[in-house]
Amino acid sequence: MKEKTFFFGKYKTLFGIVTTPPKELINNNLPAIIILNAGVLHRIGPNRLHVKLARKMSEFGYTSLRFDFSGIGDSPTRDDNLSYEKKFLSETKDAMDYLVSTQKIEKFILMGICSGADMSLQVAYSDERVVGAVLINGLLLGDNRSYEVASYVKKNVKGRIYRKKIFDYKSYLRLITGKSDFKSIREFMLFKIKNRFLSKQSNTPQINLDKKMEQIVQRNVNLFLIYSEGSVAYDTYRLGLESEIKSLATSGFIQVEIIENVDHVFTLLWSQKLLLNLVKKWCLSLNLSATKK
Amino acid sequence: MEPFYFGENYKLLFGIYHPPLKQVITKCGIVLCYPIGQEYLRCYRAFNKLAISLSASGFHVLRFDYYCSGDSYGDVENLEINQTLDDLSMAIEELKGGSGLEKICLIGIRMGATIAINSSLRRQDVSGVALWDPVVNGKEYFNEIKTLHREWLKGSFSMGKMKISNDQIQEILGFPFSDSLIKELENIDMLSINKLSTKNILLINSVKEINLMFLKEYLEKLDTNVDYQNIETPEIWIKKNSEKNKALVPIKILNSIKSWVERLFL
Repeated sequence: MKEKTFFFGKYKTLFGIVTTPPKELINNNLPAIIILNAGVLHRIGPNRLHVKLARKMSEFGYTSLRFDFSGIGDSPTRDDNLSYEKKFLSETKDAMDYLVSTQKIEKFILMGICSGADMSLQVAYSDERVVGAVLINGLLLGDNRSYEVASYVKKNVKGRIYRKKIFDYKSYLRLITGKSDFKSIREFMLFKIKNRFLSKQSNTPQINLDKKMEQIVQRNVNLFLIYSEGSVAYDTYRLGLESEIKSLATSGFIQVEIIENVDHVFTLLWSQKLLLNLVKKWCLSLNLSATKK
Repeated sequence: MEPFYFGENYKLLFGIYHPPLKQVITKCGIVLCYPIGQEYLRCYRAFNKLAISLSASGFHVLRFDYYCSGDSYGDVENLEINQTLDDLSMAIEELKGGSGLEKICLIGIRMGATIAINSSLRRQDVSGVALWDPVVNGKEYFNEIKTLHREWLKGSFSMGKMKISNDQIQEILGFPFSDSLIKELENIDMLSINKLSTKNILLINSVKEINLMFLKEYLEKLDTNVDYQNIETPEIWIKKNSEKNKALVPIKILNSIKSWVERLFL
């Protein structure tokens, strides 16, 4: 495996790192993998996941690129007034253009966690060079209402954490041995009381799937949606998107995986290993010529 | 900025060199030392801004990732403190070679600060070390991050044991800590340093509940000038379930470091 730094984009200010497989495994029939920033974290990703993914996939002949959008990590902010979404679209396309010209690869799989997943979906819609996308804990909402929906579902996540602990034997063990987190218990009681009063008053926002997903699937783009139980994206899926996604999944181009006991960014090592294996298996199953180690 | 790989073939280190943006005479180059584990992720942005600020003042600046961390080669499971010291030595030589400067100032945060001061003990070319919330005692540090991990685990959906069975690895907030790394950490004690080769230290304490005066007094007994500054800011390196401080840049601390460096080395 070899890694190389590079600048790209209109002003050559976007910074990224390309991971290429060992010479004997290089296979330019495979799509390249482009990994997008998760939130404000730089290109190595939460818990260094992007680095691990890129290096893992190089063992199977995949070239990967991880880079920083402008204003994140080591890419400076832009001088123009391009909107948030247009900026990310344009810069991801620049990344693809770079790989086309330097690696002669013309097809791409996008990957992202959280906002990276959302951006992957947007780019997949607008650029036909994208043949697949791994969307990890993306909200995937239409009509740009992510903040409104996220703040609503956050309460749901909290409720789920508390309910999970009620049914966890370790909670009772801690209670008996005096090691309970009484602060959390108090918070839970207050949460229940508050929700009992507010639940009838709060407006449940409409949770709609981004319509672009349907059009992406019609183009035979493969999508792998991964949700971890501890993510607000999981709630968005369960509370609003599930039936639409399941309906689209009958096309055979969408796979959904739900992973229990895992937080939004796969902090625990076993969950990172699981995620890497899931992504690897999915990529290899895409019926594209892969070089196996 | 100029990103590049350096070091030995199978242990390549990723670094970013920030050339001076001003034509001034400086007495040293600057190498920035990141913390390890989850803390590295959370301090990245602040160090990026610091490097840019210092290069704007006219300094040659290098920041880099230790072997087995960040964008450097190597798997996280193999991170070792002794290796980070060697990596820092390589980074220092790289900057000296590239800039033509003979002296270096090291700036580190948390474990990075501890690595910086320990590295300076082996060298004669370190003119100053800035210690931003340094890890003074490795055993206490490891207990502290273990507690943070447990606290985080309680409030999250994640299930898991502290120690992965059959492996000599514990995990803390997304990163493995091998038994050998833990042993190295437990041997760290800044109060066991008995000689310093650097004459200038900046000691920054940002944590309200901690008082580092004892460290200041100890280091001063080793015949070095210690500039101690108490600048209360959120602990940017801490991972919590409510992520209020993620990507925060404590400007006051950056300005303080910049002023100290400019005062001594411009």
